[in-house]
Amino acid sequence: MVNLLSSTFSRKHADLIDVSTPHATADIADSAITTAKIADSAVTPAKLSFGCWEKVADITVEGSAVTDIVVDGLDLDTHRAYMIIFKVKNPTANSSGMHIFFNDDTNDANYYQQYLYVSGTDISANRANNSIFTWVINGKENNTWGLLTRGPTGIPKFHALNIREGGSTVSIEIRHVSWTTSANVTKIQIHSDQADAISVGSNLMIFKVSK
Amino acid sequence: MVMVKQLLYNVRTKEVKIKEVEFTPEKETVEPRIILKLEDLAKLIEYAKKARWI
Repeated sequence: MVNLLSSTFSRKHADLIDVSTPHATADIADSAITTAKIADSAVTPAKLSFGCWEKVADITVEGSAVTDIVVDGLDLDTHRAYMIIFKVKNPTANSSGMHIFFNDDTNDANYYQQYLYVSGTDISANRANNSIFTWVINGKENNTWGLLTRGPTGIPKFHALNIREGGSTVSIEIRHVSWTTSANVTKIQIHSDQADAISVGSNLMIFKVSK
Repeated sequence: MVMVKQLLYNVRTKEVKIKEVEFTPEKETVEPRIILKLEDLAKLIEYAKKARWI
């Protein structure tokens, strides 16, 4: 019988009994690595070697309709771009423009927007001195997918692709909103120009570029 | 002027607040625009050809 107690104490044995000794990842079989062993909180975009969209705001209107959704604590220069997804229903008796304001500048005169709207075979377009990024008919709903970036000269521009209404009246609405001020964006305000035209259940999500 | 609600969210503190503010709704307007129907465009092209504009 081999007397284990008298055999030479090797580094290999030490590895077996000394659990505090760190192991190189090369020693761990791929099959032993499962996502179940990783805490959910440890899976973050910062662990990725590439940039991705990271959700920073997810706000749903509850209780009663609102006129504004204001998101503060942003930093467009650091985050490079914001992807904005907005789903809204207008519960009021009037059609309402939905405006996007930056950094508390709620003066429409400081914004321009160009749009192209297609409903059936009707095509319309206009450039206006305001910050409307989508137009919601009373009692109807719109979906917005948008991208906010600063141009090479520094002016923030919001590119919004909107689905106006739905079903048999689904329509295309493309709007580009440009601020006239060249500045970093730290606050975004979604504003309805009719009182409380952002209904319960409306939702705003904002994503940043993770790195 | 009416009182309306603002939903406020801070991405750093993740704090949600409801604020009541005074608000004067804008007069509801129909956006100024030129509507171009495709059939009108076809007629215009036909007219332009007859008039030898194109």
